[in-house]
Amino acid sequence: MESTVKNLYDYLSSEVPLELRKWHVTEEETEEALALLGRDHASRNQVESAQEGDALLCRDAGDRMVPLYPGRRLPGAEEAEKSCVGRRVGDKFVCRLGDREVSLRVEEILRLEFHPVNDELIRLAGIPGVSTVAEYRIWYAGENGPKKRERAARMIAREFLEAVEEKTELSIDPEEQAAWCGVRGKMIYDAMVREGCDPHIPEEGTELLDDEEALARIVRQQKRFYRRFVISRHMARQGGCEYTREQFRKDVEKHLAVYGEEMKEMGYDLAEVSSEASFLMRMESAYDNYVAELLIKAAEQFLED
Amino acid sequence: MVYEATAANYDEQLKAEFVVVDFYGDHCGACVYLAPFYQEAANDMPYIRFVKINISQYPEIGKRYRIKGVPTLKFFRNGEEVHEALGGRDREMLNAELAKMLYRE
Repeated sequence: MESTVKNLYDYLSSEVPLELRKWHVTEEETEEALALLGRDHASRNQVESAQEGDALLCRDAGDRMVPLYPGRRLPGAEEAEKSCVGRRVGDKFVCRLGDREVSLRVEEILRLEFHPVNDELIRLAGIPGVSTVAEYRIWYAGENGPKKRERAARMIAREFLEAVEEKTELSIDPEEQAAWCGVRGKMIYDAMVREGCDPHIPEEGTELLDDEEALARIVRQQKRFYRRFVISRHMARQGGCEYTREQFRKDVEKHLAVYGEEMKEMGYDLAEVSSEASFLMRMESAYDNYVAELLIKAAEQFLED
Repeated sequence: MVYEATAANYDEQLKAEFVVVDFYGDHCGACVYLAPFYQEAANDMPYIRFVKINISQYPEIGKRYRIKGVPTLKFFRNGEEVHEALGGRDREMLNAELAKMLYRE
């Protein structure tokens, strides 16, 4: 027996907020990109006296290099950063660095100067066919517009998916749910143990869980993913997508052909690739991918013109 | 600037007093998240060499360091690994990791 969808929520009737429909590249984003370009092509000039934003090369008593970056507030160096403001090349000073006192000598001070936003900067950027600020603006919109459009569609698709998961009515078969959560939970438990993450540490208190309790907890945690699985399976099947054992066999063959040797070298058990847990994971992934593509396509009709 | 290393020139890139390497991969959201902060730190902090290498493209480098996840940041002083950090980071978190390399005793 399988769990089924009694009533699939109609995500196309969802209210999509205006801010999610927007995708065109803005003037502000283009200006920010130009400013970043100026930073990427900044020059570093030696100066005599340090201020915030500069970089100092100091040497300690053992002649080891100690860079300081006043204003960046690197943990442990806050006092040292404050101490070096106003220092000049050649100065010696004592300050705290971490939990120790150090004696430093200033060897060099560098100041970053951003390249002004002009045609010379654009030529330095080396973008084929782009040599002026005006051309850069057009190029930037052309490069980033489609990416932003795709991202906007994905954000709307995510809203649809959340609404579908929340509002769809299911008829749950307890046996299938238990079996699904059990296989998935065991896979996660085994992976945690293999990678050195201890599954026996409790969420509250200090008493360690035994193997059975630890596994049971992880299995319980899978219930929230089961709901999504049932819905994705339903939507995929409605669209004619069914992940079969035959497809699984082909996928395993392909995977082992590409990664088999490497997995053997790294000590992985190749039998795991064709396990029931692996079948479940690949099926879930196939249905999730189908649903994601379906929802992204649907989302595109909601994007601004 | 951030130096994009290849397998062929990777060892050359480690020849500086302070080096940080971003081991990143294809289709990695956390790597994409880290990238602009990494670039910003590279622009802002001379005396540190910022390197990145795509281990989807050069898996032999990933194997050499037994990289288990991306992004992994490794920090070197005079060619010796002194610190490691795994996962995406913003600028503040990246600064905290850099401090561990710069100011260890």
